Amino acid sequence: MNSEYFLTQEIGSLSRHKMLKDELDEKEIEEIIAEGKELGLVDLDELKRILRNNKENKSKIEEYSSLFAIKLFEKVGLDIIFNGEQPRKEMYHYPLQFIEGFRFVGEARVFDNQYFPKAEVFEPPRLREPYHTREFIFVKSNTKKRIKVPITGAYTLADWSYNSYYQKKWIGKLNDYFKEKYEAKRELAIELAKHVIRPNLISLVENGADYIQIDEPAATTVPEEIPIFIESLIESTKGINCKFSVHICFSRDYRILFPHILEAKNISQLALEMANRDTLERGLDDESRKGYSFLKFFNEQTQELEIGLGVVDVHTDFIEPVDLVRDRILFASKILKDPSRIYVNPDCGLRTRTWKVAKAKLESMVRAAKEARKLV
Amino acid sequence: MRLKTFVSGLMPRSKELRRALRSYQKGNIDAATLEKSYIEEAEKYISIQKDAGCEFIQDGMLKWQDLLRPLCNYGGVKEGTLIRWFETNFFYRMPIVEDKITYKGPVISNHVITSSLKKDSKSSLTIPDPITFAILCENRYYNKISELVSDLSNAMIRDLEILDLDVKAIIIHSPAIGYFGIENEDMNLFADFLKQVGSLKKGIKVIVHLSFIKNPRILNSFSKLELDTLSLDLCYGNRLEILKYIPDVSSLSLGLIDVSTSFIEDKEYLIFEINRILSSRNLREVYVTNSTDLDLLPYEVALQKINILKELSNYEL
Repeated sequence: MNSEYFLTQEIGSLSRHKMLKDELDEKEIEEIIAEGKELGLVDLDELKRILRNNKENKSKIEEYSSLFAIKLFEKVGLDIIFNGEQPRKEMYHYPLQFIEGFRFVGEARVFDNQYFPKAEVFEPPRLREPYHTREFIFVKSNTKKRIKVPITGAYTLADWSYNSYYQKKWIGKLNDYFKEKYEAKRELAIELAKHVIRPNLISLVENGADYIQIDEPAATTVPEEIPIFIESLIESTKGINCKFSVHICFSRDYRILFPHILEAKNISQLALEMANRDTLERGLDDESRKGYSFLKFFNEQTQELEIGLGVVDVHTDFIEPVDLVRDRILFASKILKDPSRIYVNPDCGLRTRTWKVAKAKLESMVRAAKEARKLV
Repeated sequence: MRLKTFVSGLMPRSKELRRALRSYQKGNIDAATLEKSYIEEAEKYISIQKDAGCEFIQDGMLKWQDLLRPLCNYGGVKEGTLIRWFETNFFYRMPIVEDKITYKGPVISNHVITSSLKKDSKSSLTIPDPITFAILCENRYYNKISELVSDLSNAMIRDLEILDLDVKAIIIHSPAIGYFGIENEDMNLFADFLKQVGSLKKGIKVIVHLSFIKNPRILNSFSKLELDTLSLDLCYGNRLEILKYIPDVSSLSLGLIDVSTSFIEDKEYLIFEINRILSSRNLREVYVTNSTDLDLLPYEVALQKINILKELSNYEL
């Protein structure tokens, strides 16, 4: 059994721990302390005191919730971990607090009655201070496990924002609205890559990070803009000595990433959502594993890139049985023919699930990886 | 020629209406109180559109969760999973067709705030076209798309017939036709649907709005259709390419108000673009409208966008 095969990792987020709530009653505080003890934490008197006056020391509570997440991941047995993104309220809103040049203009509907804060760029974006380094240092000092730091990528920040500044700059310049919009988007994404994401990555690496995941859920939203996404990826990472993974999810078609993604030589892994598209049937045949059909195309395109294989669905409380997850891993191994290229992870961050459900899903994933290792 | 304007599609809900919806979902207010919030907001939108000088007035489609959702209430259709709405960051519920589509009772009319619109002689209605539905649904029942489209068209027309509203215009939103194109056979079905909509009432204006236009060549075939105005999203696809393929029509609506950005268009720039677009065309009337649903924008930004229409309404070209 090769323990270097099918390394297990999370994609990033867990739901924000209830200790981060504004108001907690005594019963909830006691439950949190009991949970901490169950996770193996011993000295929790300070946490209890802070929670009783929880408005006083928010950053300390964020550290404790990060510590809980770290211990949960360790207990589950993941090979590569982070902090469940506990200090981050959300992957778009959080980084914008540290970037000049953006202002929030309201909330846009995502679906039904669910809304998302939207910002517009009103001047060239500039980083106020690296916003994930402190998190990384905290995780590093609290675990012996390998660490992977997730960070929202430049293209997604650009795509989810209104591009007022650069559109104003480009409008009428090319006598072609379509090209003007494209150039405006490109300029924003590249500015974000150079002046926001890159300095963050450099700061993380200077502090010891050796594995960073760039989250780009928007990467394939506009197929014509894949070249912008790739250019921003190259600008963000070039010359930085670190292992980089790119996480993309809920894409209509991952194939459109190719061949462009191969230009980003510093990227060694694509971590993709796939379980959501798969059946619950056991087996290694194409029909049972139809959620993973992209892997054949992937393997034809590249023998270099690793895959971060999404094996559990983050949109359901259903706990995927070990044999189902194992078969998903073995199917990928059959297609790629090189198990060392396969990392195992949930489809996406587990923020929408409870910690109990997230833990059960991750446990299933870790056990499935172990079983799969025995079989290859 | 005098420039005309209108707003179509879903419009964003205010914070107050969102709060009311949340309260209703939690069981804190009853249906009548929620309805009151809908009416208040619809009347606000109607007054904003009137003030902007819009040619047609609509209720903001405030009850529509997405363009296709009401149609999930027809017999044989249920709501499916969330799917990205074209290349936006909005998600719709994919309708699942699992049986023959039948009319069981009013659906569209239940989603229109008729009490507010009744007071206005310029009232209009936005509806999806059945081809768009057929493309964007998961079809588990029909062997032939033509049968699905035919059954859905019948249900929709029956629904529209009982609508207690004297509408001046029906604006048919066809985003999937704009994005994916349309086969010749389906074009005939689409033409039949338009004919039926046009026969609902004497003098009713039928407007087809194509958004997310990826393949402008499809526009060639639109000259043969029985429609009063062809309305085009000119902000998503390649505008210059689209302009090349605009067929010979007498009434054109230009979707120049870009809902993908909070950047507020400059009036002079828009007039320059409109003149450029119209320079070699012989048109009877020209409208300016939003590129697609204003609901893709935050409420406050959408209001600013409608304000641009106000600046353009009645402008003499």
